[in-house]
Amino acid sequence: MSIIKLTGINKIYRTNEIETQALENVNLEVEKGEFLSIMGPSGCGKSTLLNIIGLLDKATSGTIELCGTEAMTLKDKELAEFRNHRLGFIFQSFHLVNSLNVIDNVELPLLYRNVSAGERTRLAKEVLERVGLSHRMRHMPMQLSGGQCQRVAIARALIGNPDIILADEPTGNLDSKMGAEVMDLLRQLNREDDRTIVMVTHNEEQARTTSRTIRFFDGRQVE
Amino acid sequence: MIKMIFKQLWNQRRQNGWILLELTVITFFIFTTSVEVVRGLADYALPNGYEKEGAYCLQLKEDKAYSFKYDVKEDKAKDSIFHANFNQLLLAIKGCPEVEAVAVTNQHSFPGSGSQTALAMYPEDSTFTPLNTVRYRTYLADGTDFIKAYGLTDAHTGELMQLPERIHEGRKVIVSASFARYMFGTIDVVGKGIGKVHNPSGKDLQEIVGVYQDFKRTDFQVGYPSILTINTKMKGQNPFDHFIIYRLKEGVDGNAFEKKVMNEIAPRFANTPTVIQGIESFEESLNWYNDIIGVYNHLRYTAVMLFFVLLCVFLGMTGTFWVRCRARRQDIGLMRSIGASQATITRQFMTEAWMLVTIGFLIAQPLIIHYIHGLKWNVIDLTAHYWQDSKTWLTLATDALIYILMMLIALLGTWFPVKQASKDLPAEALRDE
Ligand SMILES: Nc1ncnc2c1ncn2[C@@H]1O[C@H](COP(=O)(O)OP(=O)(O)O)[C@@H](O)[C@H]1O
Ligand SMILES: [Mg+2]
Repeated sequence: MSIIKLTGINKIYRTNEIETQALENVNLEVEKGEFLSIMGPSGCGKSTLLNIIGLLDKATSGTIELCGTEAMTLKDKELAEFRNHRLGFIFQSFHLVNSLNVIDNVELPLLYRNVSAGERTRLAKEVLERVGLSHRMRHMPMQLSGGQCQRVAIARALIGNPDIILADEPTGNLDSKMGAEVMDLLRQLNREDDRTIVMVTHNEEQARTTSRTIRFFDGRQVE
Repeated sequence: MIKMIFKQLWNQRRQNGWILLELTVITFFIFTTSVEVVRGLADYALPNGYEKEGAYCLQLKEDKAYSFKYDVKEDKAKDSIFHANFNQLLLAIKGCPEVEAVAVTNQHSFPGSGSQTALAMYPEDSTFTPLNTVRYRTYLADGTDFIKAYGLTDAHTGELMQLPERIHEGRKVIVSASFARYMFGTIDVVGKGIGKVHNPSGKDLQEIVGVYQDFKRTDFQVGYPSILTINTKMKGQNPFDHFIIYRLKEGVDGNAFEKKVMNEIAPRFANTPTVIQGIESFEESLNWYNDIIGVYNHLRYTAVMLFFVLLCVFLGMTGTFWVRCRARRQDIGLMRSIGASQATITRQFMTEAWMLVTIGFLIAQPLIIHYIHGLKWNVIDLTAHYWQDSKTWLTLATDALIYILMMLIALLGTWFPVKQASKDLPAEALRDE
C-alpha cells in the first residue's frame, strides 16, 4: 500500500482577475521508504504540490490519502496532530523561529505533544547530535550559517519521528558544499530509518541520487 | 509552553521593552483614574446610616414685616409669639395621621446642610488631644423623636435605634460610631462623659446615652465623626434657625402631604411672623448637596477619563498585538506546519499577552505606590475602619480591578488578530514575500 496517494489533484489560485492553474489532474503514488525527487522549471507547481501533500494547502479538487488516512476531511485539530506526528517539513528558507535558540527550535514540535521537558531536551540533543550540531545548541539562528540552519531544520523535522519528510528545495539557499552535506543527511535518513522522503530540487545531480524522479511542466506531471 | 513563551519574550527583550513600557504607563494611568472611581463607589456603597426615604424637611422663614412690631430681645427671652408659633406648627404637623415622627434640628444639621459646625471634644478622663467632630443639634420638644424621624440606626445592631430613655434628663449626648472609636477605641461608650473643655467635669460634662451608626452627609463621603447634642429648651434661640423634620408613615404620598401642609396648615399662620418657605425631601436636599459640592462632576469626569484611557488601551493593545501577529505570520505558519492547531496558536498568543500585561502591571507597582502615597484625603488617620481610607486596601482593591480590566482588554485585543492570523493556510503564511 502506498504511503502517499494523490488522485486527480487540481489547484487553481484565484486572485482578483487572474486565475492560475497551478496543478492540473495530478495523480501520484509514493511507496513507503521511497526517496522521491520532483523536478521542473520555476513556477510549474512543485511547491504547491508539496504543500498539498503536507496538508499546508488545500487542493481545489481531488483526493489525498496519507498513511491510509483520507486527509481532506480532517478538522483543524486532527490536521495539526497529523502534521505533528506523521510529517516533517524542510523549507528552502529554513523557517526557524528567530526568537528561540537552536535547541528550543528543535524541541518545538514536541511542545505540541505532551512530552516532558526532560524528555524533550534528551530527544533534541539526540537529533542535534545526528545532524552534527550538538556544539551549537545554545546559539541563536542568526548566529548560524545557512547550512547549519538547514541542519537545525532537519533536526526539527526529525524529532517527532515522522513517517514522511517533505523538503522543498532544501539546498536551494546553500552553496554546493553545504548542499552536499544536507543531501548526505537526507539520504542517510532514507536509508537507515527507511523514512519516506519527497524532495523538490533543481539539481539534476541530486535528483539522480534519489530512488525516483518525476518531472513537472506547467502544473502537469510530464515524466 | 509558558517557559517557551517566556524564553521568546526574553530573547526579544529589546522589542518587547517598548511594549512593556507602554503597558507600564497604561497600568499607571488606569490606576490613577480607577482609584477615584473605586473610592467613590466604595463610599457610595456604605450604608447611609439613616433612612432618607420618607423623611422631609420643613423650612421656615421669619416674616420681617412682623418682626419689627415685636421687641425681639424681649421676645427671645420669654415664650414669645415666635416660639408659640413654632410650637403650634410643630404640633400641627405631628398631629397629622400621616406623620410617623417629628424632630427639630438646627440649620447645620444633616442632611443637605451646606455648612456644619465643628467642635473639639475631650473625653472626661484623660488629657487626650481633642477630637475635632461635627456637631449636630436637636431641640427636644414634647413628643419629638429625632431618632425615628431620621431613621438613625444603632451602631451595635444596625437596626433602627430607640430613643434613649434618659435623654430628657439633660446634658446627654449621642455619638457616632467613628467618634466613639476614635476617642475611646470602642463603640461601647454609653455612660462615658465628654466635654467641650480640657479635663471636663461637672457642668461641662455631657453623658453619652447612645451610639448611632455613622451616617453619611452625602452619598459619596464616609461618615465623619459626629455627635448629636440635645437641647431640652429652645429658649434664647431663634426658632427660624431651625428645621422641622418629619417622617411619613409607610405608603403615604409625600407630594400629597406637602400640598396638605401648604394648603391647610400654612394658612393658619397667615398673620404671624412664621412663614413656611417650602418642603424638601431628604432625597432632594441630598441631591442638591451632591450637586453643589460637585461630586457628580468629579465622578463623571473620572469616569470619562477612565473610559478614554481604557479605549486608548484597547486600541493601542489591539494595534500592538495586530502588528505582532502580522510580523509573526511566518512563525505562525511554521508553528502550524509542525503541529500547532489554531486553538494552540491562539492560546499561545493569549498567554503571551497575559504575561506581558502581568509584567507591565508588576513594573508599574512602584509608580503606583509612589502615587498613592502622594494622595491626601480627609481622614483622621489612615488606619480608619473604612477599607477605602486605608491606602493599602484601596491600592489592593484598585489593583485587582485594573488587573482584570487590563487582562480583559489585552485578551480581547489579542484574540481578534490572532484568530485572524491563525486562520490563514500555513502555505500562505509561509510564503516568502
Ligand atoms: N498564493 C498564490 N496565489 C496565486 N498564485 C500562486 C500562489 N502560489 C503559487 N501561485 C502560482 O502557482 C504557480 C505554481 O507555483 P509554485 O508551486 O510556487 O511553483 P514552483 O514551486 O514550482 O516554483 C505559479 O505560477 C505561481 O505564480
Ligand atoms: Mg517552489
